[in-house]
Amino acid sequence: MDKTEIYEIWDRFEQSAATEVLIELNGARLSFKKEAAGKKADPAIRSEAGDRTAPDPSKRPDARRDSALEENGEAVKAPLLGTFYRAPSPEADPFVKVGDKVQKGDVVAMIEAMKLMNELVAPRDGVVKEICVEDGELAEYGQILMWLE
Amino acid sequence: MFKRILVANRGEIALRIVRCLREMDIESVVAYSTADKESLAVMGANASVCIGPEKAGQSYLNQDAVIQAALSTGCEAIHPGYGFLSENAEFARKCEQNGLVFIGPSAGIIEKMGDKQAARELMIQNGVKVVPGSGGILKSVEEAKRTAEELGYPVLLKAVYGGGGRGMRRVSGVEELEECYHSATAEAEAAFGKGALYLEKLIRNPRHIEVQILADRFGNIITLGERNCSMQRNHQKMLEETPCFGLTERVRKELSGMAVKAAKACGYFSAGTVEFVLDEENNGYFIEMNTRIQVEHPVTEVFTGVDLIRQQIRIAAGRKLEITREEIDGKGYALECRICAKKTGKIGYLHFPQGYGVRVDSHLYTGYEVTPFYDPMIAKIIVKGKTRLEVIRRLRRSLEETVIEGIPTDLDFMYMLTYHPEFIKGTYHTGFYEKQHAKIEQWIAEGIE
Repeated sequence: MDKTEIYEIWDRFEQSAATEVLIELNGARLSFKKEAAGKKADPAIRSEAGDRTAPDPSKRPDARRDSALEENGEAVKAPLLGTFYRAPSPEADPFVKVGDKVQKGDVVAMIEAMKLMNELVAPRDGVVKEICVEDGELAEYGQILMWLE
Repeated sequence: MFKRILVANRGEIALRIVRCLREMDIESVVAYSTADKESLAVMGANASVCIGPEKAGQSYLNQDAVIQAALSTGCEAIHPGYGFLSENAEFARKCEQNGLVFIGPSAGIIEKMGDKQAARELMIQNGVKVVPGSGGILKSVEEAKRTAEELGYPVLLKAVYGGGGRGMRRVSGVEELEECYHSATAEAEAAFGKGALYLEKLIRNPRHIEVQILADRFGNIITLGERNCSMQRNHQKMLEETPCFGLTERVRKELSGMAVKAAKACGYFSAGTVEFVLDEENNGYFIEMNTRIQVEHPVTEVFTGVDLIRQQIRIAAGRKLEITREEIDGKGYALECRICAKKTGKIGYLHFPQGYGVRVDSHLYTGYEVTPFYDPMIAKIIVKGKTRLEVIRRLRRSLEETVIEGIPTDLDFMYMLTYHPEFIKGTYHTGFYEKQHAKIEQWIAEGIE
């Protein structure tokens, strides 16, 4: 994606009725947002590595922060240190996947500490946008585990 | 030997342990609170894990979080440092139950020595002198009154499960006893969860002398000299020296003999300190045993040339002591001066003393934020020399070299203190600060008279 292409997409977006668009292409990530019809568009551009011309593929995905997510999303943080689990048991389906709708209070993951399973619940209604920790990995206190929007 | 150890502490002691582990080729994992994310211990460790928020109760005192952190990061042992969980028998037991080595003595030993009244009784049974006092826990104000009458005023009310001066009251006459009894009980209950008190005869002009010991699991016990920790502010030590100036060889031998007896009595292993109070006639009485490494351990280290943290780790790994009493180089003098922050804030320009005979243990760096959540001690300056006068001079020039900008500290106070005649003569006792601090503060305000 070069500069001209980005400007073209931007223009199209401004003219369209869409209020939000997220494009992921060859490692680059582009997100636009604007207020609903009648109000001025407020686009926000952000690429994967913070550098639009040369995205660094070695950057870990959890280092990436989507500004739209940070503004409108809510991070689900680890309330205690322990092992992060996405499913109630190894055979079971994960509690949530990216794109799933959740309601406030829904169990979204578990943290095992001192052989006790601690359920993690959604702090609000929303859609799971990102899961930042692998199943079975250590989650430190306060670490961002997933993003809801 | 261990491959990886979790450091469950913060500040200078966490850094001290991390450095030692590095020298021993053992990996370190620092368990830290959100307030200490930018600390030197975290930066210097092989790995680190955040275990909780700033409040110590939810992080450094959170037993489950610390143990889980050790298990999750593949550590074999936990070094608790001093304070926090270092003398917590329940925690030591939990470590044992989870297959982790607690670097310190066993839970059973901590329990035995942690209960001050039981420890006192154990010492009496083993021929260690204790301060004359009540036979056991006081059951009522009336019993306290009777005992105080027998011992003669002034007396000291102390919390059985206490420490650090909390739940402690000096009672100079019968008319004060009842009120002191109730307020000490309330304070002990609030601080330690148990309000039980006992009573001791108050030693006038006491000196606080402690003996450092090392003991392995094979019954080998050595003493590493005594420290004079009589320079105290509200029961917090400010300056420590070794050896204690003016002690006769007879008293020194008697104290170290009692320290060995005390360690044997509880089957002690690890590094430990036996604390004594010395009266005006140099009679030493056992007060308590600290079953952990102490803040002032470097003063003994520079004096003897023994790395106490290293020995503590080796003993925890089941090794035999690698030194004998005869091998310890115990000549000359050593002093340690603690520097405390008076306010919180960001450290600006920082310069620590260097040169011959100087050691500095500190977790400060330019830009470091001193937070209000933990102990205000920010540095320890330790000096060694041939004679006491030499180390006093070396301490003075070290304090002159020290620059800590950004926050107010007690550096000036400690500097002026080194000019006080009682300090120079080495005759000061634990009441020094209370009696002399106003004068020293006046010196700072007006210049020496």
